[in-house]
Amino acid sequence: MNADVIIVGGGVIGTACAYFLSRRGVKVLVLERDHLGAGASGTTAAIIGISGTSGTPETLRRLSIESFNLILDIEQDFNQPLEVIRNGALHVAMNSQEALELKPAYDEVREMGIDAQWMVGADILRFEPLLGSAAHTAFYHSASYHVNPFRLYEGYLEAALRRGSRVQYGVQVREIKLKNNRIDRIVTTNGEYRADWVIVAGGAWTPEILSSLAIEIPIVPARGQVILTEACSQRTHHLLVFADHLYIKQTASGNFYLGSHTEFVGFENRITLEKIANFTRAFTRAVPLIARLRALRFFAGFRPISEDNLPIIGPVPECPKLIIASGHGRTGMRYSAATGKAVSELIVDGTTEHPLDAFAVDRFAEKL
Amino acid sequence: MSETKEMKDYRVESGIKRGKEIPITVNGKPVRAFEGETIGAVLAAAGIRELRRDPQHNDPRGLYCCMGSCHGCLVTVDGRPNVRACVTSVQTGQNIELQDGLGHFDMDSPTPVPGRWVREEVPVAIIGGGPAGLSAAIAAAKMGAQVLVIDENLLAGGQIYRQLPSSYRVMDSLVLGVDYADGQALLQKVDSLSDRITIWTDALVWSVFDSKQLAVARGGDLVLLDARAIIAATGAYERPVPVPGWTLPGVMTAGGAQVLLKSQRIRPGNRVLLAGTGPLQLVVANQMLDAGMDVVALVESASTLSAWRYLPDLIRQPGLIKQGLDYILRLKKAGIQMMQSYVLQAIEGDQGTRRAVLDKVDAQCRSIPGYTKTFEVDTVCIGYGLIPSVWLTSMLGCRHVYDPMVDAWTPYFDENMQTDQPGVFVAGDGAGIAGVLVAKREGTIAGLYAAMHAGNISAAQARQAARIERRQLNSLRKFRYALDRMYRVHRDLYANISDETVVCRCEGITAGEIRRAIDQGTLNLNDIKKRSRTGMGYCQGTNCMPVVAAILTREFGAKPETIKMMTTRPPARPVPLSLLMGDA
Repeated sequence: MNADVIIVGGGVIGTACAYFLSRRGVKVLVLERDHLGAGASGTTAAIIGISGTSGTPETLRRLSIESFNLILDIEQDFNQPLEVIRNGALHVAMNSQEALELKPAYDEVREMGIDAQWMVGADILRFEPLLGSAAHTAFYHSASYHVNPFRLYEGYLEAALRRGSRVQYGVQVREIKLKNNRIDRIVTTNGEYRADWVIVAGGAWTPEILSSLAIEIPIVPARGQVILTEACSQRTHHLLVFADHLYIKQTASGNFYLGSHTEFVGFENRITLEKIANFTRAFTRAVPLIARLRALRFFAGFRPISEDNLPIIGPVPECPKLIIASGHGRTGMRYSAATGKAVSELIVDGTTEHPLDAFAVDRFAEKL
Repeated sequence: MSETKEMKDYRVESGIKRGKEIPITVNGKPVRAFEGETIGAVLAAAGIRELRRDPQHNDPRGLYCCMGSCHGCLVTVDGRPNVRACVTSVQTGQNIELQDGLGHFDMDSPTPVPGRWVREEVPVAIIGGGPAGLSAAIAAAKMGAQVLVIDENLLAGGQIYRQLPSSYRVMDSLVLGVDYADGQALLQKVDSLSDRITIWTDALVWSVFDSKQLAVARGGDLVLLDARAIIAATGAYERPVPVPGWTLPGVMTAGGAQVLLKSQRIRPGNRVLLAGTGPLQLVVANQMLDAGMDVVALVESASTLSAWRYLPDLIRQPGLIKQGLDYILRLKKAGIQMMQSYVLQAIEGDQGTRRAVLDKVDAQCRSIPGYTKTFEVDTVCIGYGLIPSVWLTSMLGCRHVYDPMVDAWTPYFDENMQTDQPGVFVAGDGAGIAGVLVAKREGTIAGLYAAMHAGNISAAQARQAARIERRQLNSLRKFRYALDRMYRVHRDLYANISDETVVCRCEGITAGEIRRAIDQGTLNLNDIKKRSRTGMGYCQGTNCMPVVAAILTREFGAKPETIKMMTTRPPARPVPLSLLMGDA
């Protein structure tokens, strides 16, 4: 089987690459070993924000701003709505220490010219009635929205298929064979494939996919445990962000999605009582309504986290037509559009306006 | 004109005396209620059928499974929404509100108390207090093991041995039927071993942590239970067979109707049609006659002609055959229309009336055009057999195999009822549908080997004690196998699911949406779930996934044995988050 471009991995990054390549007239073949979004993409809140964490490197911020706008634009190209809920994010500190930590993020947002509002005490409750009186300090900014994650990667892929791309499920890549720094063939559970270009977008499984090439990609799986509650008529339209990476989003159907720390426990996706209980205590203190709700589901997913917490986007030194697009950590949805666009430009134009140096594959080798 | 049709109260008064009357209101108006009744029973007794409007389509919903599974009957109680009416006891002074769309939490109502965390250890834990679980408890206790039986229902006994609330007084137990008496006998045996057997009712095993620790929600406590041996006797639930209109109030499972009749003494309606397959229908129809209901027709999808082919195996259990024939005779005498080779096609109707539309079918359940029949009733009961409840064995990591006779997944188990997980045993309908007599014997064997696993007896002692049970089991299983073949559920039973038919009752997802999801993705249940939302709601997919699997095999050429079970995520049923707020 042949294709100009083969994409390994049907998550949000792989499908975004498929989408942007298709838009440039390239017909791609996506190989997914399970089903769409079977990895991190299927177990995430899909929060699309511009900033909010201070100390974001400039290059990453540019990627995020571009993605932020792109996703809203391309929704009209999709055949089903993304269920965008666009009311910004409220970052909440529960004590004075956390409030101190909030300040740099607030300043950063303001510097970027984003609408932001600093609040203390009763003002917070007036702004977001779901928060209890325990909220100490908060700031709101408008540059955040969330979508239905399933609709995003389905949308990317569907629009790519509409333009002549293909997808095959249940195909696991065993080995990518190179010859003279070019891609020779891709050995899979479904026989051999040939392609000029290969994009490896395997999330936490990226190192495994590349293991036969002796290319060390420092990505590890980080388990994130999630609580999904029953739906109710009470609503918040804001994303609520707390210290310690905890956040609450309410889905279009009214359920609350409560996430999540990351834990480095390998590919172990069991739920632990300690973790979900810790989350619940923190969430109910901030949002008393949560204590009244029932949990519909506890689940976990594996976020692909790279050694320096930055994504890995670009060709491998040994083979310029073998591209890695992975390691987006907890924010794959957020960076998906810009990543897909940058990769498509690399392949079609041979270069991209996106400064990808910070995400280069060989950056880890240099450090050694 | 019969008396029943005029009655505004659906309570059956024969044989029992209810607890004391207590004041409650429904939507602000007083409604009769008695101590020990469930909220669902109170509403059904008052003829209130429509309990809520679903948030997705604003469609009316009512009691359907009556077992706490389907979540169709959610009501708001004193400001707390989404309470399952069918498994919640009514309390003095409650105000019950029927829900319109998503529930609203009254933040002025009392704050939930954080769950207390309790760590317990027990040699033998049995989940499910039906005939299998109780028989297992008796067998293990007799061998000296300390046993804890955990049942999510308000009373032990299971579906067949449904008992009455303790506030009810039994005046004439004959009126309550043979199952009630059998259940009493079994519970008395349990009672005589009360120094070794503890029963927790209204207690839900909702998750498994650290591979074998059971998390139990019990009276606001979170009990973390470590057991040396675990017996899953989780029973079964009704096979869902969607047809247009099956989500309407007044349409129930046959088992759900039984719950109202047996454990609450309330008629699910006045004029009823039963549609489905298998011997359970005969039992339910008889119970309905006893309760003074007007059974209009009993519709069987199989043709009874096929019975002769299985006669040799059936004859092994003459007692059971006689029981069945007695049931049929009684229904015939009562003038009930008994229809074979007919299936329910659709349920129509507004207000109180339900029109059941039936089609004649051939031996494979395929419709034969030109024989459509329609009946006007107020209640339709659907009973197309049972599916084992395997959420617990799934969470315990047991291997499951697809059983073509049951057309469902069942846990693998060996001759000692042990699964592939050491120390985890199964018994009863949760291990494969085989009825009460098999359940009791499987329970006994599981109980004996669990006692052995817990260190109470040797392997030789267990083997010796299980000998008689094993012999009886073989003959009973053959009988059951013959019945299964007779009443086999054919794939074409699922032919009437039009694109508009709701398949996922919780999320209001239609067959059309599911078909589209399959078209666009894969034959993987997890994929279909994400694409369509089917199975994402309260019931955790129990009531839609068998249907999706049937659609996959019937319409998309999937082989049933290659379909992967949907990943089981905790909780088994929704649990209050306040349970997790307490300290370790």
